[in-house]
Amino acid sequence: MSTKDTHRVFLSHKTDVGMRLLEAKRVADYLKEVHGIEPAGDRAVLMPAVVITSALNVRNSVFGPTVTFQIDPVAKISKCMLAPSHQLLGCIQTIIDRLTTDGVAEKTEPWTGVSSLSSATGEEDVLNWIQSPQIILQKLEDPATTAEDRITGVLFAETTDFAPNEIPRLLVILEQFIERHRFATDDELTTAVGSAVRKYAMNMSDHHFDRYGQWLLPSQTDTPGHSVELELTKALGWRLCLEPFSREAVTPALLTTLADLCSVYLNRRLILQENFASTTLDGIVAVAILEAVVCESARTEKLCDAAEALQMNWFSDLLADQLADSIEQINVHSPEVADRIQQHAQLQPMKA
Amino acid sequence: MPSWLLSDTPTVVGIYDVLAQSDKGSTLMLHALLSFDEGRPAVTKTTDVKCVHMGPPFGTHHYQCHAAGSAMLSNEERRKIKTFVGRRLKEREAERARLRRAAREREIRAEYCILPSPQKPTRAFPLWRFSCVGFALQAYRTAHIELLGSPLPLRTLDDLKRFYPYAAAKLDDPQMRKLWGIASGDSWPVSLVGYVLHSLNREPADIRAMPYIPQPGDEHFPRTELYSTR
Repeated sequence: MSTKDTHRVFLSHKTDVGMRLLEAKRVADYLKEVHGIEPAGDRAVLMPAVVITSALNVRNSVFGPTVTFQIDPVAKISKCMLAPSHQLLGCIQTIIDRLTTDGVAEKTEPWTGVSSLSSATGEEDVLNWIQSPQIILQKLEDPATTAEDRITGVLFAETTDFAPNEIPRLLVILEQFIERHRFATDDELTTAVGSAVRKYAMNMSDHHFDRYGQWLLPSQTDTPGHSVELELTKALGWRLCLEPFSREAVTPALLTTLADLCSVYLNRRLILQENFASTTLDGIVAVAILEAVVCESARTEKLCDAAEALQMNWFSDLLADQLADSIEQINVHSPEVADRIQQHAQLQPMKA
Repeated sequence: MPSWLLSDTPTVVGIYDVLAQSDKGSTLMLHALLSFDEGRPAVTKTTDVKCVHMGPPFGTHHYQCHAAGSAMLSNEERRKIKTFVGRRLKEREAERARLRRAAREREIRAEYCILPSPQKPTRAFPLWRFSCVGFALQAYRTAHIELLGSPLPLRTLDDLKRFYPYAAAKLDDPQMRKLWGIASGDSWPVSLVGYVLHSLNREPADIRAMPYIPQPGDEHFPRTELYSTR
């Protein structure tokens, strides 16, 4: 099919232009979001996406699935986007696969060949090994695995369902990754640390809690970034609310670390910066739950008083709501703990 | 302040006001977004507005929208919603990184759910999952504004294919329906974009006083006479 044919068929389908533009915008966003391809200008983003989308429609509705995308439109698109033709061509093929099929890739059998691990260098290998929990574990345990593949493995481990007997191995891997990179400032690494933290928190055993708390501590020269702090406190809050744990999980060191962190941010100037409000909310709730488990309340009361002293209604409201939510969730698996949180935090006002 | 259709005449949209995209400019509303522009921009139907939304993927983008609704949020309510949105951003970065690495293998809709929405993190998938409407509802819930009450109208699979035209083929896939929470049964109380606009199309005090109970036909905004009530 020539370029002229492509345009002719596209024009013959222009009755659906409204829908097509909407699709086109989504495709353009997809290019930017997933492949990092930026448009040359605000409006330029529409034209190439329209061409891509029209090509999809042409391929599907008129000429069937055997027509391949023409190189000439790609060159034109390339001029409008800050991307070379070869990169764009790969993206377009991906888009075509995603938008025009019910997932050819999804029907592919998961790749389970262990022997290919050492040669996992190309794109196809990346596409395959992330689908298997066993291969992810093996890849992450292999000292020869590259830093890039290690990040990829951790990112995909987060959304992979591991069997119970695989969890201990996974936790060891995630521990090493978090400890090595918790002070990172690079966006890609902190994102992967966040993935590791969330997965770790939701799957850790009682004896892991104390170590988890230590990741919030600064070293002599570095401190975890605010985004890592947020993921650490947030994921701990999820874990405490959604999964049962015993009093063995609660250590004085963990409580002290969390309470100290919150105390620092319970400051009218700091609480409005970055995500410190969220970190503090999650931290206070975690302290309240952990103290309730061991029948203590001193830290919780002190933190709630400090929060009240800020005289920021929105923050007090959010704290009351989050404590109320946590009580509701904990009541499912530990009603006596839920009762004690209610008493210790002296919730005012309560959420309906 | 009522909800309104965006036109060629600029109207001001505040940060975290609800925006909606319709089906080909019709009254059937398909996608919900939250305005993410601090500058209170004057918006027409051709303005690319900065939004935060559950696409999927979840993220911030610039979109043309067809309708808007405002609860006249106070500064405190905005601050609460900001806290909620801020909590999601690193989760979003992780999903974006996964897509960037393996877009062909990654199911872009993994972080999406239709029912219930939202869904809490689990051991296997330690991330919040939302529908586009569920994300907006949860954001407003953080600000103590419960936009929708129950019961919601029950919707069939054919209805859902109309409301999710981009995912109509996926809705025939039992695996996807299971992932989205509509595996069993033949009709479901799904939260729809039009419902949210109708909820916001009330006096601010009423919006906060009681949630809106949607009726069949509320998927259109404004309600259309052509709709035949079932």
